Amino acid sequence: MAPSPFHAAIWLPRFALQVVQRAEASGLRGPAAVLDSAPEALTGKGPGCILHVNPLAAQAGVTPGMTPSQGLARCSRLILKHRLPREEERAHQEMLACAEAWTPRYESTQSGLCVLDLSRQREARLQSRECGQRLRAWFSKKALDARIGIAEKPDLACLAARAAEEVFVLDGRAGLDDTWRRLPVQALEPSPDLLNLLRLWGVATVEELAALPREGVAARLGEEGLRLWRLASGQAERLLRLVRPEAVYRRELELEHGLETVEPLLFLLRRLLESLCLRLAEEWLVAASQRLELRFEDGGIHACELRLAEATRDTDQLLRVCQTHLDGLTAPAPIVFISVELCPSRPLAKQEQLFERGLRDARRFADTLARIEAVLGTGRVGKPGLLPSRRVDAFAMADFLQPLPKEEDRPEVMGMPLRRFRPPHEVRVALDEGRPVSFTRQGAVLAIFQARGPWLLSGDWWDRQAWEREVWEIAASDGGLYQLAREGARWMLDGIFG
Amino acid sequence: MHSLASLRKHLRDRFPESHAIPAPAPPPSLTGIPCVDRAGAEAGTLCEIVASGPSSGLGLLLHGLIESREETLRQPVALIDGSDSLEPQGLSHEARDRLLWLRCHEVEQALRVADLLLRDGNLPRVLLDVSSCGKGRLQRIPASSWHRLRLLAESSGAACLVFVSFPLVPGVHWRLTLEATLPPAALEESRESLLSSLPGRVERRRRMPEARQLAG
Repeated sequence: MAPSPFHAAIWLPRFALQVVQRAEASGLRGPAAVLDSAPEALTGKGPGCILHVNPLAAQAGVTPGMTPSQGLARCSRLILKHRLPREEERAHQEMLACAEAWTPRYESTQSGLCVLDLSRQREARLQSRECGQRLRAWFSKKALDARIGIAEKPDLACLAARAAEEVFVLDGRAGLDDTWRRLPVQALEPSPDLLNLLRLWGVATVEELAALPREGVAARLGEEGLRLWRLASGQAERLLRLVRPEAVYRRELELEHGLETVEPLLFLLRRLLESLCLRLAEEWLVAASQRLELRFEDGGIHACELRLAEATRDTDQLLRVCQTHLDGLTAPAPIVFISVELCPSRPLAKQEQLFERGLRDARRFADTLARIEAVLGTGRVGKPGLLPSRRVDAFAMADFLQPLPKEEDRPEVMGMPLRRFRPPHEVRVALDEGRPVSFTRQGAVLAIFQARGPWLLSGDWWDRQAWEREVWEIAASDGGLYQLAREGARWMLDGIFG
Repeated sequence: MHSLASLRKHLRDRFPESHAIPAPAPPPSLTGIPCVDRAGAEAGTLCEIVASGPSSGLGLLLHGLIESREETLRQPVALIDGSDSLEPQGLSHEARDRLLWLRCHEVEQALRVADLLLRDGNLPRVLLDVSSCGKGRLQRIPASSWHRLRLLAESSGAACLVFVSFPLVPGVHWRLTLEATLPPAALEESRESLLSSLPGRVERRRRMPEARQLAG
């Protein structure tokens, strides 16, 4: 049987101001306010409005929403501070870490607010006030003032936190507390228009709103009004939008003594990979790729993304890929830092198609490809993907293990294919009335029996890399059919048809 | 009699490979290219295609084998391009999608890559094009290198076709020589009709090794 719901909300009132106060070494003594702008935003925009004020500033008549000059007009000693986004983020992360320590089920829909699902914490249910005090004490150590609200439902817990001086427990069995009922209706965070309307009706507290008939509220105030009414009457129910921290499968190792050979490096890599694979196994995940980073004693860094043919969490397979990569690597200095990160993915659960003939051993094949790439160099292994250009060699090598992206339909190619000379052979050409009649190649003169063309090609005219070519197809006296091209004053043999 | 039967059974259990019933050799794959189909492109063999003239259709044959419209050949294919001469613009998207193009700088690299690929045994067809490489460098390749490639092809079950400009590889399963030089009119014909009429002569056929037949 599922336990009845039980939630605690942590609220850090005037969150931005608290963060600024914490960041100030001497604290903010005297009336102070935080502007709704960060220092770096000053150049583009104005200084913004006042976001939060401390009690001294509030006593002096400064309220949120005022402009800085309005605030200073009411209190000349007012200290104005900008928000500190990085410090706010740090404080928020601290709050999430606190929530994580209590339960994995928690939500945080805005900065400075966190709702914990404590339904399964028997101790928290029995000693809810003590638990609230412990939560407050944790934040006090971090120089933050937290208000804790505890209730059955998450929205009620949020409202309780806003109503709390320190810890406010709303016991549903004993009926809603009077303190809570006397809360101003603003605590429900209505929109400004709706708030004005409620004021006109004379509805000032939560209790007064809850006393209105449900149907009437729905008919006159619409969906938002009904939501607020449910909140006010304690009937709002919803599921938490749980925070799922992104798991990072990375292990790092700093070494006191630099590694100079590959064997101890592989030994350490195996250790790191084993622990990462165990973590993956706990989550029923596999590694789709791995990222290896090595730092050298001379400050150099080698980082690379190693592909895997098939996602796996087999340490030996992952280590073999690393070893193959390291075989082709020359370290400039001893290695002092190792970092391995596995990119997790779900294991493939589908069956291969009946007529789909894949590789016999994809992992071994990926290893072989890495070895071949070490022999030939990068960019010389893969499948050719065409680029949208008529320039010579307009293609890019793509990963063989990935399918080529869809391309535009091309017309069927006629005739014999061209076998390119890379680089093209430069030749001297004799012309007769603008048509090539012979060419000299490696000292030998070859007559041209037949020449088709010229085809004039050009491209990238809008760019510095603009190009222009005059292409001929020729039959030479050695029996070969060649493609001859002129670029400016230079003639070259692009290749031979055959 | 009883003891003879038990001895036979013992020997069969002890040396199962020697007593295996020889499986019939797999039928050669049909490529749709008449001159190659006449020779028979069998798995686990090393074959040679020789272009005697400069434009005798060797590139056409290479493209035809990569494109291979036949259902039985729609598998990944590796092209070890000894002189980096392939023009990918002439290949269809489907053909490029299953082509592993290995762009080598020199012959030695091409042989090393062929060795690695055949050892790997994942790809059923390996095309080794060294036809544009220098004759001197090709002649310096020791026969043992080709012998090793042949054994690797046999053990991995891959069909390895070597494209050369003169007869070079010893002990090949068959050698197809393209003797005719194609006329300039061939530049305007469709590739299908060019391939169907491409003349070629099968020079030599070598028997399958005994061990392979026994192992099945």
